[in-house]
Amino acid sequence: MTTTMISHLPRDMAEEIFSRVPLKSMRAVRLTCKKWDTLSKNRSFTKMHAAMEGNRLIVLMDYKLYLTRSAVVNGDPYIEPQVFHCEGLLLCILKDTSRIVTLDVTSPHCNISPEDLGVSLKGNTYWIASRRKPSMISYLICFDFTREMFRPLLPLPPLPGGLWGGELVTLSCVREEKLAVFYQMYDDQGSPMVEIWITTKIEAEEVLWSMFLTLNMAFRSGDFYIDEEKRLAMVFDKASDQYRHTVNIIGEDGYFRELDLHEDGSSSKLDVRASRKNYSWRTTVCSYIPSLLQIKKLSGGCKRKKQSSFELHRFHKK
Amino acid sequence: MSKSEKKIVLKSLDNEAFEVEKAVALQSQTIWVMCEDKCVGNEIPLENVTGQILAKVIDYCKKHAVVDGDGDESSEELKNWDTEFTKNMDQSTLFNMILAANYLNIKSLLNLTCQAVADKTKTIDEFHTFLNIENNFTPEEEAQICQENLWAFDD
Repeated sequence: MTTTMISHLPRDMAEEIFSRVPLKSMRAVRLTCKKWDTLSKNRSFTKMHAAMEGNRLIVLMDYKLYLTRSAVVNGDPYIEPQVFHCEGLLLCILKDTSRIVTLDVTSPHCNISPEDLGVSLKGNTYWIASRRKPSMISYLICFDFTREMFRPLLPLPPLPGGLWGGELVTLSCVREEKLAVFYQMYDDQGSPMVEIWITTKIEAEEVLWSMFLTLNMAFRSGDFYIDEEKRLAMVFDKASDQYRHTVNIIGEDGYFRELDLHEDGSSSKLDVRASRKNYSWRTTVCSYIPSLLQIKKLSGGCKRKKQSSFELHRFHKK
Repeated sequence: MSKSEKKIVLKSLDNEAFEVEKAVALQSQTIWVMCEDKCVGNEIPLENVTGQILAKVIDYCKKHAVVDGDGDESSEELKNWDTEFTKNMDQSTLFNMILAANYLNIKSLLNLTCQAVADKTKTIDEFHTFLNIENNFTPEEEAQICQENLWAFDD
């Protein structure tokens, strides 16, 4: 029998294998031969890899950035924090909020909360929006970067009947393919309720939702991520003492675990004074998919890159 | 196909015949579709798989089949069996297993065998020797990639 070599495998089989090689070994993959170097830069491959390696999140707690990884091992979830550092990639957080430059994203037919950072999906950004009048009903709005305009409002999942407003509504992205929405509500007896919905279809003119999880709990902030396969959601919050950042893992049939987010994962004691000084009421999270492509360094000093016409347009309007 | 016919015969590329329980063979989506279509009798010819590889695939399917009464293996046990199953396979066999799992459309076996190849290769030398590939980079190109791949996860 002749020997079968990896070069005999079809391309998608080779991708299946490489997507299982840990990202730490990607340099070795790229250095193996030219064909693999090309393969490793493929976008579908990066996505496959992200799916294999589990959730990686960047968490902003009290003006510090952390890289964490979450995993569920035999039904027992854990969070593995790491201080974030990444050579060649610049992340800039200005503590002095007055110096943070924000885009004016007010669209003519609705309001978007300035605290809503938006969620990116397939190159467009989505926010929760509300109509100026007459009601508090929330909608989904998408900014189309290719046409530099907002698309028409899309409906969010229906709220259960008899609920009053003031609910917390947040968005999240599921594996760069779907959107999920988190509702924090109170029924007419004042009991808290959480509902998480996920899209089954999302296009320019149409969005369809399906219920993902529901349980009776209250959270202060609603940054969240979901693991669709394991039917779990992670909700990032601040504990009732206001100093501990926590991640709450919720699942079907009332499954709930609260974990602390620490720098080293060993001690829960915090310097309260330091915490007070660097206090921020919410924990901000975004998902992180490592890219093997390097960001080009600007040559000749550190002049700011020219603003896009979109940015200029928005700034001037303001 | 009537319900009483619980066994089917799988015939390999080199004409080796294997009689197996239907429940075992139906883990292959490809075979499942063939049976559904009723376009085959009790004998299914598999034109892309040799007898040597098919025997291994059937071993795997027998272990993973949920047959009434004896499908109670713990997941831990099954995992250990999977590890042992691929542990001593040489690379050529592993690649043939991947091709067979892909052709027969057995997702779990494809996962297992791809993972086994990935686990056996970590360093550049391992990629070259285990996977039988020649390095076709110039030293300059190599240096360029090392430079590009400097990032957070390198210790």
